[in-house]
Amino acid sequence: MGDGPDPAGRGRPATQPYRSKPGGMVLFLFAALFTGGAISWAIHAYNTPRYTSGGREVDFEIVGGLLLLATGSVGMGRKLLAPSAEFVLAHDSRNPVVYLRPFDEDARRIEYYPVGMRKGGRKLMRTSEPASREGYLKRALGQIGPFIAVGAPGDTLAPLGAARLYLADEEWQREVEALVKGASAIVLVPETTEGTRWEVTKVARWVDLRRVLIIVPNPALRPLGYARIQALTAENLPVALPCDCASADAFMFDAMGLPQAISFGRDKAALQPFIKQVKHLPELRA
Amino acid sequence: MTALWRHVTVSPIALWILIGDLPLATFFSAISDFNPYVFLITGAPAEGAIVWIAVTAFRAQMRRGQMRNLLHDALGENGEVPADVALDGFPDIPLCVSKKWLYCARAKDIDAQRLDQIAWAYGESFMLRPWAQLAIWNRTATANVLPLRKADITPALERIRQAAPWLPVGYNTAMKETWNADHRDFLALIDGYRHTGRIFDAPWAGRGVARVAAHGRSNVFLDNIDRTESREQNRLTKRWKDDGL
Repeated sequence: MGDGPDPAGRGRPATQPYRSKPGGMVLFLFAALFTGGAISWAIHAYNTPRYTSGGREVDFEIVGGLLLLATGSVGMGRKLLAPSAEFVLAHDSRNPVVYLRPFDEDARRIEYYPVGMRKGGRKLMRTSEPASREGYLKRALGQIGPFIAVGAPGDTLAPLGAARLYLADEEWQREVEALVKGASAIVLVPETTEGTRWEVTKVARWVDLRRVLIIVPNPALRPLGYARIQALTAENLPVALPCDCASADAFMFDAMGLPQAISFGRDKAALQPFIKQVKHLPELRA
Repeated sequence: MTALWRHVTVSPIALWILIGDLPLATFFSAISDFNPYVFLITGAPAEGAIVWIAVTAFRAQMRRGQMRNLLHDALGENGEVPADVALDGFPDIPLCVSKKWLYCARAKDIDAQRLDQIAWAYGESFMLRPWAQLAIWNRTATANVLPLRKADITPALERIRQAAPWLPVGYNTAMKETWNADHRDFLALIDGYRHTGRIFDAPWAGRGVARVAAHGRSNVFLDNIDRTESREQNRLTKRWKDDGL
């Protein structure tokens, strides 16, 4: 669990994020109102002559602001309505797909420029996108089973993507063990933090590697990150990932136990070989 | 006269105004910050423009002299002499590199940093703008950003490359991603090159220039609405400061 749950089990209690069905519905209603407001403002601005260039900019900012508020309301509404892992597991009879990652991964972003403090010069436009592949993985692996992850302690709203299970520090290793042993597939984002290292070791011991999908830093973009994870897997897995790899976003292990590179790109079917392999494996007891 | 010529060649707008190409002058005045020349387009006489150019050229020359004096002071403070650094082009090429120090000419002062504290240097060229700047990052993830002419980027980077061959000089996406996501490993790699005195030759490293977009008014608007990105940037910057120290 990365720098989240403490492997030594030092006392953080389980906290639950705020969930509310009526709250979510109200926010969806607000989103509809903001969108309607943006559309009517755009129509009004189009039909009103402006004699200064600043007037158009203000119109643009108002429409943009309303649309952003609408998007924000939808996002927050979805988070309020997000089901807990307990609910999902109770209502889905299939074995879950367990997503094990460092908690930092939830917030990590791909920045378009190097990050840091800049002294002098011209300011750059700040642009970034979320780095996590959680949404993509949830959509793709939903064919196998419900997508479950342990939630980061202190989440005020459950993030979108995997259904979260919030655990106290004393119980997380026991719960993760039960989840992993009963999972139809494991998605592992290895890191060198203590919690994630524990997970890598245990997954290697408890799970048939054909059920494991390892998400790695793409060596074409993050060669040093890949080398770090390659060294970690060489230490902890029975089969190491290849040292030389041009480009890969993930690895699965084939019937011979050999790692096979997978590149996500824009290919929605990139995970099909893994899904097919897992579906052909004997069913585990739930 | 040399100062005037230097200034005219530095400023393409001035050059175009001098040869009387008003449409081009209008275009460049619109896209750059060099606004004083706009008065020509509004009907001021050409003699006025020439006087204006001469005055600004004189002021630029005065500033060059001032910066050189400041540099001499900075060199003295670090126990070095002007012979230790290549001064040609300074402060138009706003940096000097000695064996142990890197001196950057800022707007009104000189910033001196130990060379072994520098982690990465590359040029930035703005999209849709005639601007360029040099970014020199140190180990605490703080960049000295120095505006300069596009034509001066290559000589400036070459100067750094010669003084510190172990330093990554240049830009590509893999370097940016490594800096952002695997910062500690990046610093460790640079340390390895520096301690062994090898030329930085990681196969994935690039020698290009970063193509960047300028921060505009709409970005201020978006930054105020969405704080996610600034929170994440602050978190990373804080962590790297700890890593680099």
